[in-house]
Amino acid sequence: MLLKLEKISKSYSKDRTILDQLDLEVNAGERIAIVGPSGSGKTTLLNLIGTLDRPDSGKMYFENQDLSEFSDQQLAQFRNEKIGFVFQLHHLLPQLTLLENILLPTLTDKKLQGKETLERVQKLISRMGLSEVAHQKPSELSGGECQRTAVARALINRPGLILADEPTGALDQKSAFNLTDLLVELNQEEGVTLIVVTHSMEVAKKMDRIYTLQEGKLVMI
Amino acid sequence: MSLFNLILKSAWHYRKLNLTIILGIALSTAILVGALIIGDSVKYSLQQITVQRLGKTSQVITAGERLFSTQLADELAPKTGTETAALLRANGFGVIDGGELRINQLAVWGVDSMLGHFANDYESFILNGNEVAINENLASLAKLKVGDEFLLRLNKLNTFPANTPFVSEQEATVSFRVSVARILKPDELGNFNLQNIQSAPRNVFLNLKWLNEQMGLQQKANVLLVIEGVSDAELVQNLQKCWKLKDVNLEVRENQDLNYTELISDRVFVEPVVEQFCTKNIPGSQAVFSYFINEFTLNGKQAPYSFVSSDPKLTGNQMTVSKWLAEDLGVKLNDTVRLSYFEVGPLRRLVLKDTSFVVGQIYELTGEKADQNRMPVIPGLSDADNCRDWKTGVPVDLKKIRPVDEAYWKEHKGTPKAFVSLETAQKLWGNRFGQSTAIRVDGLQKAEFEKELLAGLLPSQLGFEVRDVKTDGLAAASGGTDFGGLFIGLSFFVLFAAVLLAFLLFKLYLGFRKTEIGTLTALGFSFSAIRKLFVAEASVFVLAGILLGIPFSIFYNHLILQAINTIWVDIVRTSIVNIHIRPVSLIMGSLIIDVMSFTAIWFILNRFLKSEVVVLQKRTENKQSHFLSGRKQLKTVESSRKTTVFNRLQSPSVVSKLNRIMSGRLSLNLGLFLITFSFFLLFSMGFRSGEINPEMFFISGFGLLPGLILIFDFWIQRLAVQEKAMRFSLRTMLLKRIAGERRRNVMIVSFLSVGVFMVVSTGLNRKDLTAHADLPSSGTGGYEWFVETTMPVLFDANSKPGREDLNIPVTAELVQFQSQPGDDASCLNLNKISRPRLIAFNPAAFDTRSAFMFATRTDDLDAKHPWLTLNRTLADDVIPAMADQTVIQWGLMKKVGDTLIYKTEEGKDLKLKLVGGLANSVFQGNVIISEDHFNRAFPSVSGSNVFLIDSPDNSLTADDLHTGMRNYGPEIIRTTDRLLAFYTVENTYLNIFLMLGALGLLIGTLGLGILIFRITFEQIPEYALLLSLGFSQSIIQRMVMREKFFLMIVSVFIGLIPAVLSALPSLMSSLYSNLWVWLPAISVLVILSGAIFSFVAVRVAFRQNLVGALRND
Repeated sequence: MLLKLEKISKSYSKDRTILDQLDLEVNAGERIAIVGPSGSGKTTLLNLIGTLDRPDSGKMYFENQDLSEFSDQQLAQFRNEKIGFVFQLHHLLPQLTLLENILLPTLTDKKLQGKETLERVQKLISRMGLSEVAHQKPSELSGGECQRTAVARALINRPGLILADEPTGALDQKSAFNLTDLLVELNQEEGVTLIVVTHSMEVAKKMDRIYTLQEGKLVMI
Repeated sequence: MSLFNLILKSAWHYRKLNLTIILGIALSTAILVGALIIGDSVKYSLQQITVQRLGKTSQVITAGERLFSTQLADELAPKTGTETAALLRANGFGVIDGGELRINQLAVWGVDSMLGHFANDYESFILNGNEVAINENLASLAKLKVGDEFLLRLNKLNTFPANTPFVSEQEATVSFRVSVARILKPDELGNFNLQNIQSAPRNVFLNLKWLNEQMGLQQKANVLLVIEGVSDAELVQNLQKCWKLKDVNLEVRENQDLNYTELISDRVFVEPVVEQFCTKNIPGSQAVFSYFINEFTLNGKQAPYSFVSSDPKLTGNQMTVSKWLAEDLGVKLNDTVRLSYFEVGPLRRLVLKDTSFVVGQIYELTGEKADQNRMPVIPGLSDADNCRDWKTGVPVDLKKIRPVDEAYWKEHKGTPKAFVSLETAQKLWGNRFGQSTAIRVDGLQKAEFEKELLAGLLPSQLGFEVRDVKTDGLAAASGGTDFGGLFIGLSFFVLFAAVLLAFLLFKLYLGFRKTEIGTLTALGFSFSAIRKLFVAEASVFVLAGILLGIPFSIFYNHLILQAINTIWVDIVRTSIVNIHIRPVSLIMGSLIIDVMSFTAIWFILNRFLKSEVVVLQKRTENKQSHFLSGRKQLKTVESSRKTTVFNRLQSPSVVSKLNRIMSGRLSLNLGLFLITFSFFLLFSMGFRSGEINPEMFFISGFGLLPGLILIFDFWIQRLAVQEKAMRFSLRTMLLKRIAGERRRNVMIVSFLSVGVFMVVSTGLNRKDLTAHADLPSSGTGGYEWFVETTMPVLFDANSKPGREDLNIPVTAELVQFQSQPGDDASCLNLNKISRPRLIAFNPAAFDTRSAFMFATRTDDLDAKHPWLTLNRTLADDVIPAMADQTVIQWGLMKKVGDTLIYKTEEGKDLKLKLVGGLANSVFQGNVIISEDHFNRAFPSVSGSNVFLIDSPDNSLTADDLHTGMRNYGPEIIRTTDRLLAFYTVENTYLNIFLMLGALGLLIGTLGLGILIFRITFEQIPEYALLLSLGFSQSIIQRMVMREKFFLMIVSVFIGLIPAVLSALPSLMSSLYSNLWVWLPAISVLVILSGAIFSFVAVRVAFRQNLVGALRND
């Protein structure tokens, strides 16, 4: 079991509970899609899984470790090592080249800045089809290229889990398909677990399981 | 819902941010209005001081050195229908506690109860016997209280000038013990003063009658006060009606035996203006000139100390001698008799001369030849009963006086023993005091003679002057240093920072409402409508800011006035500057802020609408530009819209790199050029013949500053170009962040470094006056001591007896100056001065040692011997004069080449042309002319009271001088200290600038904080991303803080390096060793405040919903 959520609740006010006693179990290498209308709590759930936010109640285990007992510092390290994020907007730093943007997560730990990382980044760049533009800046590239860079950045530290929040939302249809295929391929090649929040059923259909959020709970479709 | 509602709701919704803008505007208003109120307050206080020091005095009548009768005041009062008071003004010094303490430069006033009418306090000036009333200033200085006694020594006033030939100088001073009966407050006329100056005098008031008695005078005065209610013209007319001959020291006496009436003067010599009037207007008038000679010599025989008179019937070198003299010397007709005599020059300089005469007649000592009235009335001489009692102003060898001489004196007194022609007498013995000792008219009645004189002579010709002191004083108080303008200047950096702060806040405010503006645009609002909406909204907080700022301004004013009255008192020299608020200043200040605010708001809105909103509209077309700043977004939008062939052929990265390289090189080349040029200037002109040239240091520093900023700009651009070569690390990331925000960062560094430079370089740039002070070319002239005596030294201090009297060694160089009182035109006086004190000397002394330097010159100034120019007379009888350039420019508000008009003793215009302006010197506050011109214009001014002294071996101490000059009440100061006293004012202004500048920098960093706040908030998504990538908050905060710290430190260094260079002459000076403290102080202020603002901004940013920033749009 890679990830286990037990009775997770989250609300932003007394009157508005987003997640209510939510349970979820995810095995390593699985592909999960979460769909649902806006405001149903998809991103909130993803942020909780990614430890960017803490639940009001409930337990969250990653590789059998109780994340609720982690300090902020430990959570930061956890995110750095175990989680990879892909957002709707690529959120690449404009002053860095694509290569540097991919290497960004390695800056937190000097041990990550060795030869192995360089080989890893070369491989990822090559895999993402970014070799020719690796030294360009985000402003000089297309949206698809930027989003692929964001995926490579998410993978650089060999995370166990990729959390993608509407990764194709800002792309045209062709680029969206390409990116979805790429994510699936990477899931298969790297064995990385994938949780994707999406509005697109076409993207969702490429996942192993599809959930929707109803009244704060996950319901499998 | 109306637009008005929308405005109000928006203003309320953004109330927190609006409040900061209101505070920014309030701060600007406070500083500007506060500065204007300071101007009003200083002006008002100076006017109040003027009113206090004059009481109800409106006009003053003075007669130069002359004494007039107190009855003149009594007669003038009913004629003018107002009240008058006669005063006797003398200089003096006080000896307190048996000599433990000496207080010099006392203004001693003989007064009667009438002065109480000028103070609304009829009791204050009723003083009996040796009772004195003193003002609080003197009481405080001398630690005197009611009942204390002290010795008062005064210059003895006489009806004749103290340096009148043959009058003994032993009568020059008078001293007596006085008892303090009253201590007068300023509003009790305690600070009564006729000079336009704000500092309090050291006043001693005595009973007028008693003072007259102590001086051996009868009912004499030299100042006449008039209460408001009569015009100057009426006063002059009535003065003409009231004056008597005794008021101008003239007397008409009749000799019925010899049937003549003659006019004589208490001043020994009849003034030329009177003589000219008589000989021109009174038929039969004849000048008489009698002179005291040393001896007659014939064939080795001498007859000593006799009077010789004039006989109009004689010509050339003819002489008639009395039978007594003929028998005494054995004179026969046609014998040549030699006369030796003293020619008495200024400062009692005596020149022994002799002339030979041919005896044409020997007369009997009878009739008109035996007329004792021929001898002028010379106090100490003519009234002596025998020769041995003579008290003369010339050396008399009593051993030469024989019994026959005593016998002659007993019988005939000073009856002339010989007569020479009038022409010869006037030629040989005529002097600045007159060309005759009497005017005789045969057969004219005394009354008629007097009537003719009173009707024909004008009081103004005899030195009487009517001055509207109240009007002049108030004008001087109003027209002096404009403290409003001054403090706006000094507060410029604070004001600039406050205005900038308000604008930055407004920009921040617009940034927060960017989306709203976009929505309004989408809803069909035109730019014009949006602009109007925001301007209307802005008017709410501009108005609120101004209204809030006005009480702040009064508080700010209180703070500044508190400082002016205490720590900055050097710039005002009074501690009674009170707050005064004029509504017009409030309105004017508010209007200026209003106009500035709306202009800025209009400008910012226009720019904002043109840039940000366009981007907003295009954002949907270009989502990947999310992270880019507004300007970059605009560029991206534009580039996407305008794809050119060039763009297709060349990749954008190549173009941008090329641009960066080009502009980087431009920055580098320009920066290096400026730095090289600055150092070239410094090394080629910074040192002038071994001396440091501070101006060149300042200019070099000023040039270095933009050079360093450009190098910083180049370095940032270089970072961007060389980024690939850099190993990627957190440090690289930091540098890339700096490079990525190049424009903003260069702007921050420029703003802060310019601020640091301006504040530090201006604040620390002080002149070291002690350096090279021993050189004649310096502001000291190479002299060591500057001495001002309370009582005039009547003799030539350079003469052997003079040096002995003053205890000045022969090796010491000494220059003495005569002076004509005037207002202090130095920077110590805030009033506008039109007639500064005149000082006069023999310019040869300065010419010989090439003393002082000229900052400005006219063509009249001799190139090789500039000082000797003072001896010349220019066209139209204009006299050359010199003054400190600072006095000319700031005190007089004139320039070299301009002419000053003074009045001579005869009431004629004395035109002084300023031919040269001295570089900063000890003469600040004075106008200098040659003694020859001075003595012609002011013959009655006796003695000198300003001295420059230099002893080559520095052996002359202040104690030596105090001992030698103790009888003259000397104020002794080192020339360097005197210069420093003037520079205390300048340095205080610099301190104020430094302090207000530091405050401005603080506010500037607050503005910077806002900029940082804005940048930090814009970067929230970036922080959120880093957070998601596993960066801890502390790493991110550290990274951001390092970036800001780096910018602060770079700014401080870029500002400090040129600032230190420009202020190096001051910093290296031993005189200003404490200035170095300012460098770390300013650095810490900037770095610490910038760091605090950055820290707060980052903390606030991290409190935001960072994760929310990553949510999908």
